[in-house]
Amino acid sequence: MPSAAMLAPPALLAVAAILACSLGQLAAQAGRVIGALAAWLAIGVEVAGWWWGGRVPLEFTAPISLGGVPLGLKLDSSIFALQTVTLLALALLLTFQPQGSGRAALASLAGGVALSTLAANSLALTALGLSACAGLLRVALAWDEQEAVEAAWGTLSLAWIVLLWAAVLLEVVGGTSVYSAVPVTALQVPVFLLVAVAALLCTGALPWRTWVSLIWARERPAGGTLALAVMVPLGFSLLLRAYALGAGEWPASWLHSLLTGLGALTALAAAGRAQAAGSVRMMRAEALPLGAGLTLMALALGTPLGVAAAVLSLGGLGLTTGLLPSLPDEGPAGSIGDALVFGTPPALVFGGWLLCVQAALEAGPMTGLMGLAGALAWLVGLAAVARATWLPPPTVPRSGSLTGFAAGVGLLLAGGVGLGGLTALVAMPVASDLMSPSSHAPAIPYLGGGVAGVVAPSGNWPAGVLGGVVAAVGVALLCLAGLFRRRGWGLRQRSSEPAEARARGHRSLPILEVGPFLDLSWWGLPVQAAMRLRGLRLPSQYRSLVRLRALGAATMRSRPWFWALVTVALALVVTR
Amino acid sequence: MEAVAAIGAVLAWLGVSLVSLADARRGLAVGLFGTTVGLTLAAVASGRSPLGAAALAAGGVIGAVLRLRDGEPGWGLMRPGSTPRLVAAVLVFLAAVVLVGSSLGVPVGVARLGAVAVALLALLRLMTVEHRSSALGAGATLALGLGALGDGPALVAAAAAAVGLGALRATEDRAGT
Amino acid sequence: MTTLPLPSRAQLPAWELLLAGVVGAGVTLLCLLGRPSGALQLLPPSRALLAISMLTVGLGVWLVPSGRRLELLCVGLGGLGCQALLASVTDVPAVAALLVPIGFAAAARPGRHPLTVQIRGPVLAALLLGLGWTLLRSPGPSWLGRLGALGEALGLVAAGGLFPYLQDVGEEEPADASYLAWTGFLAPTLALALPTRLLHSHALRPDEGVVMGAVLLGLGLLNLTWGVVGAWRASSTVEAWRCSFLVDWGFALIGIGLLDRDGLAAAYLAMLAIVAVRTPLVVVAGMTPSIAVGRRPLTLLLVVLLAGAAPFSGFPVRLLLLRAATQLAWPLAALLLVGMALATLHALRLARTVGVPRGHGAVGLAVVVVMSLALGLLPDVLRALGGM
Repeated sequence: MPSAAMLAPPALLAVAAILACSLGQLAAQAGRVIGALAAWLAIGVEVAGWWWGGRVPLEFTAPISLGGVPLGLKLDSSIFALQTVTLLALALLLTFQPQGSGRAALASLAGGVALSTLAANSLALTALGLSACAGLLRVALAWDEQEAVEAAWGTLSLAWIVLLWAAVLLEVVGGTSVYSAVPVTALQVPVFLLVAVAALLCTGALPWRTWVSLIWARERPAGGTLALAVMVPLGFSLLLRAYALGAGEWPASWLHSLLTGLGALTALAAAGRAQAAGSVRMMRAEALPLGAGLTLMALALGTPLGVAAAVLSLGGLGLTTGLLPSLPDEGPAGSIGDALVFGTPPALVFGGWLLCVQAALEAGPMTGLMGLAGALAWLVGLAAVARATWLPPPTVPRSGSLTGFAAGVGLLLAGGVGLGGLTALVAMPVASDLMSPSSHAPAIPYLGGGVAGVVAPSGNWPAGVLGGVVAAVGVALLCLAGLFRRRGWGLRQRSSEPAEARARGHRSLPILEVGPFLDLSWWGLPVQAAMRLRGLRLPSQYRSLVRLRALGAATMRSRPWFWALVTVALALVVTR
Repeated sequence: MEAVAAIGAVLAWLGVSLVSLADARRGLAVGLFGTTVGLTLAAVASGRSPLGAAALAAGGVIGAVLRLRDGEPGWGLMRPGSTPRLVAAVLVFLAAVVLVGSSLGVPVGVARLGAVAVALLALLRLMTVEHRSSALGAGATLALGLGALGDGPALVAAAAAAVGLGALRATEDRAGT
Repeated sequence: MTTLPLPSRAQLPAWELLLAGVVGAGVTLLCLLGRPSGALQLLPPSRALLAISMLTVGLGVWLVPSGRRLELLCVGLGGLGCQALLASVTDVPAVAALLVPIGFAAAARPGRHPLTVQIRGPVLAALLLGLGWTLLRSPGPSWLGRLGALGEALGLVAAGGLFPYLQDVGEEEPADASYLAWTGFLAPTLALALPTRLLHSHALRPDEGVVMGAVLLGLGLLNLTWGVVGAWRASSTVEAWRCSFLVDWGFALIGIGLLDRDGLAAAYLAMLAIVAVRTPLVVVAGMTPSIAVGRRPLTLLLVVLLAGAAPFSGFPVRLLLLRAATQLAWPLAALLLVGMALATLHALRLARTVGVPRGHGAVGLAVVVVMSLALGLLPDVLRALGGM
């Protein structure tokens, strides 16, 4: 693949942004069409260029610098995979989400910057790109509405600042932050922790409700989808880069255990929130954190199987991001989509998550327990989907997009059926590049992909057929339940039902009452404690002891006595 | 030369004290004149650039003359509330001795003492002044004192500053102070 | 201020202002040419700052209503002359002496506060700089030299109107008449010229350098803290803007205090950003009414700009500063990190005050955004121009 071809996908999106901005005045949806075409074309160029270029890693260094950082791009199997995931989500967004030309231009630009950031050849350049992405996403989010903007912006700002410090530390310790030039010993625990913090903030892979979940509470999903499509692959790319920097492993073994446990905990927490959600949207909001948790769990194992499973799971996450906005709040389509994004076979999400759990089980006894926790979270998530069919519809339900739904589901199913191929062509090369199998396992194939199945040391399973029958039966049941619930078949509300109970999903029916499986009312205790702390005030009888206002006024009102006091005090200190 | 420098330093200190205690145009002008003469004497005695010293003298005198143009008529000396300023004049001189006392054995050190005393006292006056004319007088004095801390370029700059400040009007056009 | 009524609609400002403009232009030219040589020498960083300041003055003149343009042009040229002089004069006592009339000239502008209050900051700065230099060069015990270094550092802080020498800024005061003219236009010159001269002339002994560096570091952190909290929580908009200046100044003081190549470069870029970006934004904000909810793309872009994110002018400053701080002591870098994170909090509030400018204001805002982009994307070019 020629070096210039590396620039083609981000360049296509950048050009699309300019054209969308300019031509958008002619027709309302012209910008979206241009952006969508550019995104699909970029996918084609990306795949064709990588495939026909011989799938050889490339590095390109420019003689100029940007923002004080030397400019360079690098493309290898992991970056190819992440860029493709980003482009797929972006393409689905631009194709099926109605938005004006200005917003479409912004989405294209953000996508172009994200692709360039993924391909950055140094940590400092990645930090710069992350900062630029965060800024563009803030504009995109705030353009529509203010909901969850500050939470996302604050988190992403912290992420790029932390990553910037990690890059600086790497430069100070190792002399450079260029990925291919950093000595292995330079990636010490403090640097890794900073990179990991940035990654977790970007992906929302944390046990509490993060911006990733809050985004879905918004009325318009387009801005949130863009943010997730860009940031989640970017965040996970940092952890993949950490493997490259450390020659296949992180600086300390306990880091692997820590992040694996954190991933499992994240998945469990997301599943818990999903099953206690008061609305379909809030339930769907937990699909990505659940997936991110399982992905993190697998990625942190430090095994080739884990890395491969994480890549496949990430593919499922990307398609989920593109599909979720197209799902209607009501109807069988919504239920089918929910089931697939929460890991029902035979979709890509199912295959990826299954491999994640399998990888954890195979990695050792401790990680096996974490894998079981992940599996439990998965099951609870599916239960949440089933419960969601009984949840009340929102006041203004989204109708979604039928064609978007079809496209997203089609891609998910295609990915699931073709999991073997994806494993062989995408996931395994990533794992091979980042860690050599011989250093982590005996000389046997750790993972293989057949035509219609996956081969693992613990056993083979046909991806396309496995669970297909169960899936068909399950989907049919869900459709029936959805039809039964949605068409107003005698769900009579009691006027005396408290709003709080309805918010927790309690619905009184003549036959049974549907509530959360696990009551998480104690979940809000830390927030309540924090609010009580904020409300603490010094008792009035002690406020006269320290007059901060007077001090503040003295500092700001040109008070010579204060200036003299400070100057003399400093003089005394200095002359000691 | 050391004696000349000492006389100059003392004269400069007396001049700035007058500026500090005066609230009317004559007091300010005479004080500024005294400061100029004192600092010039000290600069010459300490071997500073003759051109610079001449510029300092010329600028200070012109500034003093311009100070007679406007402001409150009369001397305005020792008005009620000026006792702290009198005390400050003494204390500042002592403080200047403490700061530059280690170099008092040479004319340069003595000249420096005068300049530091002038600058410190002028600043104190500026921090507490309420009238524009007094502020302009004290400002010109401060500029002279700071210029006297340096050599040729500083002396010329101080002279230009004194003239410029003398050119500013002592009354504001809008209602206010 | 008296004006001369003419038959045409435009009214000429007072003769003093016209004279100040002409003299300022002449002085600027002399300083650029370095005449007289020996007494005037404009270092490359100051030259770059002066060029940026010319752009800012031009932009400011263009933005104001046509009736005030000549007045502001004269004020701007006078300010440029003062800037050029402060940057070119090689003798520190001369700089101190010149600060006095410059301070009086700035304080004489019609504003909310009387001259006697406005003058306090500049004269204190002048004394601290002059006295500090004298103590540095005087023979005597070592504590005198340390006191001198302290004076130089505090003089810089006082000139900028920074903590602990904060000046009162009036709510309705125009930017050219308030102390923001020092903080955002005149004092950056001193911040670039003075440390460079001190370092180049080897005027500081090691212990004196440590004192100056430590004081600037400490005050830089204090200003950064005061700025991030104040800009976020201040009750008035003007105070919030002033505190946002303190944030940039905090970064600059820390950069200078580190006495490191990357730190000085960070300070240089921060000063350029103050003059080229933040000061014009204050002018635009003063011309347009605030908006309650900022959802226009330009307002949203301003939030990113004011938060210091890439690709705008704040990013290279943060990168260089973190690099310099990490090389010295990682706890300092950790503190900086916290400050940088908190500095994003006030961005939305300030962006809303810029409102929705129309006509000249919109174009002016676009120019400011472009300048910020240039500073953010091409800092190496600017560093090369400034010899940093």
